[in-house]
Amino acid sequence: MTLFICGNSHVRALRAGMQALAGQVPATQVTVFPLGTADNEAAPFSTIENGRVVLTNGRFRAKLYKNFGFTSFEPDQRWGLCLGTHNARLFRNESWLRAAPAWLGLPGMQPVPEAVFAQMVATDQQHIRAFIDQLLETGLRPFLISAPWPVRHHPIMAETGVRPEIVQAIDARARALFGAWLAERGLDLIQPPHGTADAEGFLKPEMAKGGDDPYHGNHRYGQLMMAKVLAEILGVSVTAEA
Amino acid sequence: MAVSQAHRAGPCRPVRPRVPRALFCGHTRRDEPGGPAFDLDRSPPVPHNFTIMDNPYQQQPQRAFWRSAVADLSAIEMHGVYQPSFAITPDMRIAAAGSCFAQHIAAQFKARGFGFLDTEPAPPMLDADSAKEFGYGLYSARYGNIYSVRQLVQLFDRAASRFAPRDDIWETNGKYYDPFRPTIQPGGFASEAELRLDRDFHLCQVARLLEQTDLFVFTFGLTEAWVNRHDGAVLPTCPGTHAGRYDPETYAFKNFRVSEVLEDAESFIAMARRHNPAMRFLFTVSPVPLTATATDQHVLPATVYSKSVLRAACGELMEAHDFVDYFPSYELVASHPMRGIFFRPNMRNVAAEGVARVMDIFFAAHGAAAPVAPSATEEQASEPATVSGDPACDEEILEFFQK
Repeated sequence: MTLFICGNSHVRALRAGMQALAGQVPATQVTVFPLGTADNEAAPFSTIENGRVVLTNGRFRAKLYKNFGFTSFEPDQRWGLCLGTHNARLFRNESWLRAAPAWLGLPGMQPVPEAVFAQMVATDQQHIRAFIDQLLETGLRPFLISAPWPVRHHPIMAETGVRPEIVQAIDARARALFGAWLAERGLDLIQPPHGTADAEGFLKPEMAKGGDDPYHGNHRYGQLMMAKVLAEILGVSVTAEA
Repeated sequence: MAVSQAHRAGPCRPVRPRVPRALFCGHTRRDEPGGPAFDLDRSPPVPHNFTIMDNPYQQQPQRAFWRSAVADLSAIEMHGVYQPSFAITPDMRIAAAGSCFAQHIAAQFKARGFGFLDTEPAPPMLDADSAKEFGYGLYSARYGNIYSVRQLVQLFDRAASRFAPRDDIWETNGKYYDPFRPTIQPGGFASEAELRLDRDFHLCQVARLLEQTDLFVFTFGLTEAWVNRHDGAVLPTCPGTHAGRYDPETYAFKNFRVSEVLEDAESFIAMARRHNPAMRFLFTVSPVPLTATATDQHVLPATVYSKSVLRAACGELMEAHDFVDYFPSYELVASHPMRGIFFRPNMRNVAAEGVARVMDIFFAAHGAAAPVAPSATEEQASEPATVSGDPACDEEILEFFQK
């Protein structure tokens, strides 16, 4: 059975990584394409029609058809979704100059209690969670693939001055909350591979796309992540160049 | 000018008295030819040998007379109910607190582009409903509903470290609650440390609030309160309702008297003007009745007592200080000429239309524009105030305890 992997723009690195691993895995076994950028997740993008999940977001729908040939998600398919951990939406905000997660205990900053933070994350992920619940409702059990760790030179830190430990704490807690939400449904979240984070929890520079891109991993990261996905989901062991 | 008119009545056919024109200051009388039928209920009896002398009522405007200002109009036609004592302008820095009805006032100040202070804004990415649920954006700090002015005074005393209440933290089922704002964190804080950190920040913001404020808006809500017997700390909710445990040895019921409300209000005014000697105050009384009374009275007279005390105190304060204004939101919703039309069927919750009407009257008196909507068209901008949702009222939980 072919493994389909789709999601937001972080899938580009996975696709590049998969292309590098193509010689080790039959191309027909794994198909990887992005659907569109993460800003498409900020509004409802899916619904159930005739017992199948369809994408209501025009860009997502067009990409699903163009790259995968599907107009809906079928219950007998195997899907990996790279959605739900693009936590830049949460941390790239100037409010974090004056506010901080309460569990950091930073004096002088407005503490954001755990319950409030959990609600923020739930709000941010609401349409992704709705999509996943729709898939479950129609009998499709996907697994989730994490986005990379945050990039240390993101302008919210490098230019705006938000403290790195705040960004890291936001990302880590948001991942944990999403993982717990998935676990309640018996779904797996594959976290970034070991060795891709620096000591502070940021994506290692050699794994980042670099240049003006403060979000994405590069093909090396993609190889490592796809190697982890293939091992965990298909039980296939591949060797990544990185 | 003097007019005399004899009034004679026979046994079979009473003669209608003719009321002198001067009594109405030139307004059309309904018993004039071509006017509506004469209404005995509305027309004052005129005594024999009635003579009008010059008197102060002749100079009074139309709004001073019940017939022309109330009886002849529908509830939504009344004008001039509110005459501001001073102008409120968009450049003023406005802080607000009070009972849950005050949330509407705060929201409208923000929606209409006034300089509303919010020292503890909601964190980013929190949707509006959740922010409200967690007590963000309701007032100028995350202090939740403040039902009595003594609670208000004590809040600022706590912020200034003048008062350290015995009620520190309430723990229930492994979650932690702030006794003085037990509803701003639904489900409680995750730990004592989280609560203390949040409270320290909160009180720090409260401490700075007064020096930033040009106009302080307070809505008086209730006279009934629960007080810690040992230190007099006034709690916003009865222990054992939202959180905490009720212990009659520790907590006592208190129904404030008008003298106490006045004294507390004067105390707050003095405290506030020490921070900003030019500070002005806008007081209102919430039209929302009590959900339940802890007195031995029926809830209706208990409500009327409560609102009467608060209304009287506001009147006293307005008379005493030219920097105090009173906005009659209570009268505009709850007085009998309104016939209850602005209440929901339970005659307690104020309907959105009622809130909008009240807010429109207030802002029209101050020459303010309609609420600013993100995508407002010109047509929308001229529409009346829109009010989203019910305010978060702590005391509504009391209905749960009804036998």
